[in-house]
Amino acid sequence: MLKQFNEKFVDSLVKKRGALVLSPEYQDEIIRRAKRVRACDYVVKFEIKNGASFTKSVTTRANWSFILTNAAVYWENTPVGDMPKIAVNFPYFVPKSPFNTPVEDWGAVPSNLVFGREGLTRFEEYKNLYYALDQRFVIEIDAKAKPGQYARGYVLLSGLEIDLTEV
Amino acid sequence: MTSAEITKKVNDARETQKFEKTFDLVRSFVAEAGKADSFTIPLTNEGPFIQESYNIRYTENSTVQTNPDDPATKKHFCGTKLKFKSQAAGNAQSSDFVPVQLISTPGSDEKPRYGARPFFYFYPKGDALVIDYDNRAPESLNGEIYEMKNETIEICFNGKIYPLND
Repeated sequence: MLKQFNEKFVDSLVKKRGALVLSPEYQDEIIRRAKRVRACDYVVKFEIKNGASFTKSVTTRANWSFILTNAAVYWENTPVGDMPKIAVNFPYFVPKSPFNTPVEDWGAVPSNLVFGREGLTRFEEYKNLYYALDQRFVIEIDAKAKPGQYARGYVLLSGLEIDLTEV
Repeated sequence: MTSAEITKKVNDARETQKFEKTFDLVRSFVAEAGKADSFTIPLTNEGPFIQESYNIRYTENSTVQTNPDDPATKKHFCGTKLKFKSQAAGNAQSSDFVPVQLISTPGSDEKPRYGARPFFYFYPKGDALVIDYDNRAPESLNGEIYEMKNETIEICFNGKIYPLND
């Protein structure tokens, strides 16, 4: 019992990768690294009135490279069953989609995987992406609805920003 | 393990906390109906705070009636949007306001939520967390009727403090 306590609780507090965590140098290293990596959310709000198409883009921050790790969409007060399809495009990047499907196939990009299961839920999320982009990268959101559809939603593209300037 | 070994382990753990210790920063606030506002929470002065994740819980006091002619379509929802910012860094952690539904934990549709949303962020010693909120009624798209109410937002920021001995 005591051995288990020691292994589970005490060692995990005191040791990191087998070495004792007891030095200011270790602390400095943690802080130094933490300053150069941070989470970031890029959010795009879109509104579609009476079946119109919608395109909007967002540009990632200068001097920080961006790695996309998670994408989600939330439909605000849009009737279930009345949600349009959305595509996430990366202009000038091959492949243009993190979802490994041709962007030319309208709606297929996220529709089979993330956002396009029309009308099933108000919140859909795609985890475990790992899609390395660059600084000042343009992400385009396209939404297309049927005539008569009204929708408001938010696409959230989450990831890590990395400062590579000191490498 | 001998008594002496146990004592040493405990002392090592205590010593370790001089350099690194876990920390939960818990705050709740009321997002007032029809208002957009901002407030600042000072973080610890012990040393830098490295945020690893956060939990958000919210009330759904506001209502929306999706069909203006049919009161049966009235339902509760939370229309609050949030934006976090490190005062020292200056720039926000999101490019715009994010609906709480997208960042409360974990992502799931209309179900009770449990867990934490990973969000790694470095706050230097003496930094403050700025929280912007927007609880104004969305523009009506198709005649729907909004009635905004005060919403209580509870947030727990999880991370570690690295105490500095200066």
